[in-house]
Amino acid sequence: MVEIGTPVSRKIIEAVDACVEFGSELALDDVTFSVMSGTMTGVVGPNGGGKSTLFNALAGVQELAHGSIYINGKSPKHARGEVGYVPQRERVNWRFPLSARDVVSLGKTGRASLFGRSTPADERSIEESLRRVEMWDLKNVLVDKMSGGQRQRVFLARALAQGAGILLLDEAFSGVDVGSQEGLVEVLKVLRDEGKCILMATHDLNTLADRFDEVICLNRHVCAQGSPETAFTPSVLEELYGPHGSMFADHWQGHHGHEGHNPDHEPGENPTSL
Amino acid sequence: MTEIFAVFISPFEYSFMIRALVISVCVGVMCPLLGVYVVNRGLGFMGDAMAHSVLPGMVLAFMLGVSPFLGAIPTGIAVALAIGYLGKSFRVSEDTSIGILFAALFSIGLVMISLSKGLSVRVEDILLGQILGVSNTDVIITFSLAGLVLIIIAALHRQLVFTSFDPLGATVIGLPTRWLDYLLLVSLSVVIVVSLQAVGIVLVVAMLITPAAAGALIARRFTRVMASSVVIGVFSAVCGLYLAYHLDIPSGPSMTLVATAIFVLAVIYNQIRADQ
Repeated sequence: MVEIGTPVSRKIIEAVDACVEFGSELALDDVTFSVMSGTMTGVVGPNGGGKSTLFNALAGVQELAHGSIYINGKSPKHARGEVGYVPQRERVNWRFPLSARDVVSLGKTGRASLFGRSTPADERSIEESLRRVEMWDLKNVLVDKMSGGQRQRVFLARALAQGAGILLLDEAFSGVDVGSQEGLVEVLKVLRDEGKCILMATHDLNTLADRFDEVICLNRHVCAQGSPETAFTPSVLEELYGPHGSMFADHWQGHHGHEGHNPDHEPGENPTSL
Repeated sequence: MTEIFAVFISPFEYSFMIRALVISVCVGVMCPLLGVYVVNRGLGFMGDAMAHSVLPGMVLAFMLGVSPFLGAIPTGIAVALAIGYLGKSFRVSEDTSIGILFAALFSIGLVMISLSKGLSVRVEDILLGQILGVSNTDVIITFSLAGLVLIIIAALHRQLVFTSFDPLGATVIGLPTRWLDYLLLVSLSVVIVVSLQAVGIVLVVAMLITPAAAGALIARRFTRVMASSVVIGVFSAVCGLYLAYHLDIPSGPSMTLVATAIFVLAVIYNQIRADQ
């Protein structure tokens, strides 16, 4: 029996044998996974492991060589508008002097929105989106003057104003201090509880269990998918990070095994408590 | 008082000055309008390259005795598309490909000037601008093209801002970012061409960049930077026109120097504001 007020969880993203090629190189190799609505999923893997490529494919800006991706049962190109993208900070032209409000209003941009006009409904949506990420008071501040965490909130608000049900955050914690990361996670958890499907690429293995319902371990193919507590077996870590993967086996919540020996955790044990 | 009044009004007893004023206002509006994109997207070198690259087309038009627009506009658009294509399609950096293309085309133009006998225009006027010699046809073409570009830039304002600020985000939301980039480059090339008679090939980049840079120091948000830049651009162009008339100097350098003086004042204003 479904509790009243709780969004019904349903499969919202499905990738089946998805391959992306750059020339003769396979950036994604038979990637298969699915993600439900109302979940927060961390995508982890090494640099060059295909996280950004996967996000681009989900967003419909990267063609697949083989296989399929479905967003709400449609191809990504036909699901444009349903996916909101929070880019890596180095992919944004910060020289552009836009305020938080200006950036969020871009979420209302379509091919047909001419002469930069916003309707009253757009204005309400922009205000509501900024309030939801607690940035309304800073609406007139230029984004290049904001901290990393504030910028990420503004981009989240843009995705909300767009009306996206799926939020893709590529390295959203890069350059964001720990306190701001926690604030951002709290906002994301509220959105997840409202039924949004959130995927975030991250390198921080220590905080996965606290922050995410699921993880997808990606190194050109999906090495594992599951809860953060069960996904990281020694073989998965080695597949992700090579021989150096074993150093992550001793990672515990807020506790680095390689900083000192952990008597409670012998090498070779399943490093489930991440 | 009457003398001061005469300084401002008497030039317009001549019809060539009225034509020059119309073109100055068009240049003063259009260059900064595109200039804010040029400055904020780091396209200054590209703008300078486009201006130099239209020389062969202009010289050909003069050789054939037709309006310079007929040669410069197709060349400008072709160069804009070529720059857009080269920058995205080859394993050569964008700056490098632009540098090679513009140097080659400018050289072709100079060779054409050197080989042609009895060219109806002075090379100095092509390079530095001579707004006092424009014809009625030039005014009509300039006004029409500037109006067309103005409508395009105003209509697609939000799309162009999105593409310039966050190209990937704009693609994700479904905007045709590649076409918008081409459209911006083609609009830029048209504005450069219509400005050439006023400021010349060598200095058109100054009218693109300097008012926009000054506007960015005075205002903060993009739309306000745009508005401030246009005001500065129109003021520079019209003051430059008066100076060109009264001092009998080329219009390009006079407009550029007025814009530069305003930029210096904007730097001082910005510094004072920062210190407070």
